[in-house]
Amino acid sequence: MAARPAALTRPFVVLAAMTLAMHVISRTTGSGWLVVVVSGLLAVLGLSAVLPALALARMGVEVQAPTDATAGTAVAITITARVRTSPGKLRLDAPASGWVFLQGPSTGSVNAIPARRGVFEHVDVEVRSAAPFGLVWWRRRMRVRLARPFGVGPAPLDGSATPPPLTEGGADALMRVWLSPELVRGLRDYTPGDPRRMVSWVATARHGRLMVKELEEAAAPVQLTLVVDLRGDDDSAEVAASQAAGLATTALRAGAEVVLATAEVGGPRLGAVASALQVSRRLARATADGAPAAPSTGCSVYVVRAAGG
Amino acid sequence: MRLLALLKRANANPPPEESKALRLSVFVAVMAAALGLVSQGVAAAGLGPAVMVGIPAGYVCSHLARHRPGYLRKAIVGLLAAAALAHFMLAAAGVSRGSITELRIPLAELFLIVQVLHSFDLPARRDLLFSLLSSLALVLVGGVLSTSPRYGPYLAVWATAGVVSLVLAHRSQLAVMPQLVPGAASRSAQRQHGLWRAARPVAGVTALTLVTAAATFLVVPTVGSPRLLGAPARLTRGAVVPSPKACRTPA
Repeated sequence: MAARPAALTRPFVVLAAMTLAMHVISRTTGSGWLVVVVSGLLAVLGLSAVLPALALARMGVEVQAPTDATAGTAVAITITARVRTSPGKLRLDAPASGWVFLQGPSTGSVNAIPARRGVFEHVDVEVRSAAPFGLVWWRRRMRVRLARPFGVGPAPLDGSATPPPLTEGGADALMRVWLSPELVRGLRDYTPGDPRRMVSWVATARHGRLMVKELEEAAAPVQLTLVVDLRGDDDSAEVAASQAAGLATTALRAGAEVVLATAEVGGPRLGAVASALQVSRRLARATADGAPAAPSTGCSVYVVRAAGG
Repeated sequence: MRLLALLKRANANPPPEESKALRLSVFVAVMAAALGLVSQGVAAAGLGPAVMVGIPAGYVCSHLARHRPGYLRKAIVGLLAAAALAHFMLAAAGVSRGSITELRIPLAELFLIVQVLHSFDLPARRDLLFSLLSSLALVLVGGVLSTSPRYGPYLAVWATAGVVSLVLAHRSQLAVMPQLVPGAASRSAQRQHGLWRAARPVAGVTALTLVTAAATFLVVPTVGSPRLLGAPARLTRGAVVPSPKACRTPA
């Protein structure tokens, strides 16, 4: 995008007004020195209005972003600015960052916070300059293509606080996963080697001898299919994606096998995820362009749906 | 106490300006403008030495005290400025009606006194730029009063220092932001040439501005004869009476 004027500063307006006043005074008083001063002020005003545009026109920016990020969390993005000695300032528009000072060719990292999830193949950069006098600001917006796509996953909402209602199958097993990972089957006498934390003091007081808790054997891994339907307004889709991320990561931590059913640009997709990173990447690619993949039968299914869909 | 707190908040200083180069360039511009005006012979006895001593002392004091709130200093400067204004109003009251050009000398003295007082309260960049703008007013008055080429060197020094001040003020404004690390080539050049590397862009802009100003001067319309805004002091020629008997004193 070409450079455009952004703002006239108050000093510019004051200087322009004083130039006009001086011109009038010089005409009425016949003072030659004031004509010299007016010429100088006109030169300053003219250069301050033109030179920033020239500085921006010759500026180039390269951006390197990490492969993965999370919405709402700061991520370091490397910027390389090809600029001559004229000073200016730069910031990222999407994802948003603060202003950084540019002077001469330079490179460095800025902390940007992606607002929404998605897969980004370019980054919007805004550069401003008012060099050399700081009287008139010009700006230029650039869309910089990334060498590799930058995936932003949703910020997981904590799914462990309240067990979700299920649409079909496996209710007991899933409740066990979320509510009580450690169930007591019975009590028995203490034998040397039993962990101290397994001692039941209530039972010990009742029976008069050391009693320990006996737990249920570890259940077979639970398989959970999360159907993520993001068709709806954008804000609801973000919330639904965050809920799905929270549920998936909680289930993974509890030892469940998680399958995500989503819709992507290339069509519906059904696939297992084994880590929080994979959950983030799958949900970064999920879109609201179509219906998510249908889940397999014979497994626990939970549907996360965006409002308005 | 609440009113005092409100006053303190209204007069709270913005972040102090740390750039000595900026302070020095503004000081040079202000001194050139003030001395140029004093050289026109408009200053009352004692005001010239007060300008030559007061402004440098004020700038040193402002730099050393830039981190302090300075409420007492601001109050004293304000009171003295009010006294200077009152003195000007008294002088203006004594000026005959219809001759506003006689106000130029008292006005010039007022500008000089305010400039000296303001020099003692320049903690931030905003204050330095305001002082630079005030020097433009001094140049305006000096330019009107001057009738000889001797004013030229003062104007040249003021213009050069003024342009340098604007450039340094803008760089200082941007330097408070986080900065990307300069590239290897740029760092190497900075190590090798240091001060010249930093000064070259400023020198280049100054030269460009002066050349552009000279070119602008060639196309700006020349001034004509002065057109006074006041009424003429006397008639240019006597009234002609066509007949000796046309005007009679009534009986």
